[in-house]
Amino acid sequence: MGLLVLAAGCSSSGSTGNSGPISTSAPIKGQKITVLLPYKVPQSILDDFTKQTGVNLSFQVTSFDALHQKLVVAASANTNIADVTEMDWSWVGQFGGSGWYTPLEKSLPASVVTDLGQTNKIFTTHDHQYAACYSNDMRFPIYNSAQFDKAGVTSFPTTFDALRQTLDTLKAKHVTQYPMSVALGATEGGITPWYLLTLSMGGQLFDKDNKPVFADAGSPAHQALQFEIDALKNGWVNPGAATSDDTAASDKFTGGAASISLASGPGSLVTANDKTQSKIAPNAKGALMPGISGPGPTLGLPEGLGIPSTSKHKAAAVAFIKWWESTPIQLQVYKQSGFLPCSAAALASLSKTGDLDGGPIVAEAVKHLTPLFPNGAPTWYAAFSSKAQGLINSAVKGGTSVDSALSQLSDATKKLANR
Amino acid sequence: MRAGYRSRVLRMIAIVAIVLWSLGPMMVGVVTSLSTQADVQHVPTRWLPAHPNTTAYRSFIEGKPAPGSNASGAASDPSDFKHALFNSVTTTLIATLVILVVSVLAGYGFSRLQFRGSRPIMWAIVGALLVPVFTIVVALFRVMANLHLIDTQFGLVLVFAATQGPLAMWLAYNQCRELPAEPVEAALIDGCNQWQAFVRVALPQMRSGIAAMGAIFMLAVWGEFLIPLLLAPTLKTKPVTVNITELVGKYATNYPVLAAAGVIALIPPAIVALVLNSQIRGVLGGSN
Amino acid sequence: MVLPALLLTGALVGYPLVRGIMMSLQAGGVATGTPAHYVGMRNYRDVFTDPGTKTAAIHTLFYLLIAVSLEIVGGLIVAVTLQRAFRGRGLVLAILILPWALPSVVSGVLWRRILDPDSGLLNRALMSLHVIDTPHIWLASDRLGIFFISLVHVWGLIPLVSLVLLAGLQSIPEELYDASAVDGASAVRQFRHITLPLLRPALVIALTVGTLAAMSIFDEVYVLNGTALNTRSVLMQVYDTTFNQADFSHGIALAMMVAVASASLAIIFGLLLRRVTR
Repeated sequence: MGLLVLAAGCSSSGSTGNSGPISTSAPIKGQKITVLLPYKVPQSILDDFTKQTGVNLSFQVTSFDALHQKLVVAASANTNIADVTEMDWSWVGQFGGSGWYTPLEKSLPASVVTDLGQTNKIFTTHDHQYAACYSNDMRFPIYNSAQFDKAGVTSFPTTFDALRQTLDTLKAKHVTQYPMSVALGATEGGITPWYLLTLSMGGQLFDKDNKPVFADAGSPAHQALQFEIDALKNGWVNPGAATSDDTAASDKFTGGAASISLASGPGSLVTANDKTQSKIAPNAKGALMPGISGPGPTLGLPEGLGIPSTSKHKAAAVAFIKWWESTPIQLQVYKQSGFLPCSAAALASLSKTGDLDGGPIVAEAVKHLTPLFPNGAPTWYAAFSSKAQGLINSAVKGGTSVDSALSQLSDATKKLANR
Repeated sequence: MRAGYRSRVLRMIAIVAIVLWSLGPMMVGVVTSLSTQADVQHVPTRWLPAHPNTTAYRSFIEGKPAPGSNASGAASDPSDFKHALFNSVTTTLIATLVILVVSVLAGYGFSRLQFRGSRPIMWAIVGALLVPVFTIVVALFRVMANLHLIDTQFGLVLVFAATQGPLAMWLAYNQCRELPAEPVEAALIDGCNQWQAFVRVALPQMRSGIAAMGAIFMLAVWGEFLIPLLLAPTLKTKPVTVNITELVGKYATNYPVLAAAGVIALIPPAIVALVLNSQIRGVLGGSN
Repeated sequence: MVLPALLLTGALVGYPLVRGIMMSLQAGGVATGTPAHYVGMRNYRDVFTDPGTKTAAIHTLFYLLIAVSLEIVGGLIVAVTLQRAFRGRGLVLAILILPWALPSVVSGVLWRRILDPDSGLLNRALMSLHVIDTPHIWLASDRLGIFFISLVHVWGLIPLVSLVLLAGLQSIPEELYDASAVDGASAVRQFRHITLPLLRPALVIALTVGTLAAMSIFDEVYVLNGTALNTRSVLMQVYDTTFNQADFSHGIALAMMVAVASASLAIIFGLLLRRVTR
């Protein structure tokens, strides 16, 4: 009979996606909300939220991969796990499209929406916005200026021809045996460089309807993959890159074994200049991605805050997002936890006061930001990524030809999109 | 022959091989924990650290974040580890006790008290061994949420008892069947009821088998990851296995700290093995 | 006496399992935001005919054969060695179980440092011994990749298998050995005619545990080689489907098929064992 009780508890129907505004008139003081993110944030900052709004906060953390698992299980069980959660750019289609999250466009204050600007679209799917951007993560190269000096290279190359030359010079002068570090293993971190290279070689992987455009021979995606293969063949990249992830690639750079970390970013730049975590501090410098005839696009991988449909304290959750996106908090969070703000006001303030780690290059890179899915990631991104990880890695290792890998991936993507 | 020279040499060789096999790779972890981040990143890999130090261990003992760890994009820092370690120890001890009680009772029950349908029921429980955790997580999470057992030690213990219980029961069942039947029967004739015969006669005979089971299930519970990931969200209940993954950063991982956490997390299981050894009687040596 | 076990496992494994099986017979549901409806065995057919499943199944079979044979042989050696009490056995026992107790994220870091192609200890050792001239990318190769990942898996599981076998050895009455010693039986004969037959129940458990663990190999593969096509296992397909793609219907269908395959294999191994140890 114990079973009957349990079964009865499970028969309640799923909550439906309601796109109306969340009523913010009801008092939220004294409520308690749970916030679930993959990064630790100092308690002193969080205490300010309770002081400002009277809402109590339970701040929970889980490592990034595990967090996705947790959210998927909780949502599939139609059970609430938190009132505000991480929403990575890559989850938007999956989480928004299935009604697991609350549309925010009518609930966020207009000032916040304006301040977040372009990033809102990345978190939009099926005409609803499901998260507010809080971490403007991106991929651009970083290089070791001391090693560049030693090789007599004065500035970071701005075109791919110049990059090839620089790599040959670094290698010829024995500055580093394998001058470039890049993850090419079969993981999400291992396909990001391919995305980045495709964008900076003037292409895209998908058109505006999210249809794949990477299968044509000679397309930038083709050239990007060929560049990765050449990099291994020419000894620009260590042979082990074919089985390594992005953290391992960063380690090669911070350990001084590589002069360039190709698909790096603002967070890694800070780490690479931190004496306790890097042998080469303070010689790491950021750079714009090379392009066809001058600096190319920077790959944007932003993270946002969303509100699960199962939340019982949506008004308090909105209050949290509003508080978190306010400029003073954005500045504090950046200084203490390192999330580069998405907010235009906070970014402007940081570059004015000179507090931007990595300096003008980061501000410059923001201008070149290009997401993989400017109109929100599709529902099938996870399935696509898994297929891409295997096929791109197989092509890099020589198990599959570039043509075959990309046409297989394209066919698989079309099938996914039609499912 | 058993005590002969040849078999003693063979055993020595086997012991050395076991120790090398287990400890060899483990030493890489110990060396990493005593290195600096620069040593770990050094190419080519160093066999031994250039600057051996205990900074990583000290950061756990003092419960302070390691310097500079804020910007690495990690979900945790060494200040949380103490709580997690405490949670792991208490949950493991309680859960193991519950698993042993429940499974020895059931194993004994199934081996002695044959009733209609007892064998199918037993194999149905043992069959739960085969159930992949992926198939049950969604419904299990929902059941636990409905019972308000998320983030409670009680909830974790119940789930561990339910998922580890089948294997424990099977082990206990086999042991009970191996027990000589006469002592229990004699006790029953002497006027003991089934329960008294179990507690006074059967249980003491199973002592060393139960000790071995204790070691097995302490370690099994200690190593659980997916279930506590879902059911133990905060430091109130979160175990080390989950907390350690949070030391891996998005931009950088402090390897000495991660390795030191792994080494510290080995101490309780090692103590368990040492303590239980005295309970696992040597068949041929007879003595302890 | 059996009621607590029955209730616990029934409520927290049995009931969720039934719900899980129901999910595997449905399409739609929370994962897609559309109403769920029953589709019979369609999900099972989908995953069965998926070409990815076939490759992963072949890999898993290799993992299984390598891992289980090494575990049983290694586990038997360990258990027999530790069967008899000796000075320092506690220490050896403590050392033995360490690999099992090591969290997989730490064990991953450790093995990556050993197997790393550019600066790993294995390549350096083999090169300084002149066994190889150039560094090998161990995990990129089809056969060696699976072999090394199996080895890491075995390293972590031998402690459990040994303890199960050791627990089994504890229940063999000493008198049997004493009696046969009087008859002048050699250690090998004793092992063959006393230890093995009486150890059979424990061997069946060890084989089952080993089979189940190898059939669900995941952590070691993912940590060491990501989702690379040359080493993907069946459970990685399950994980990818359920957690990454949030498609529990197909994920559970595949997981159920893996469970049925594991059970059949465990039973086959058990029957074979019965022959060998008779």
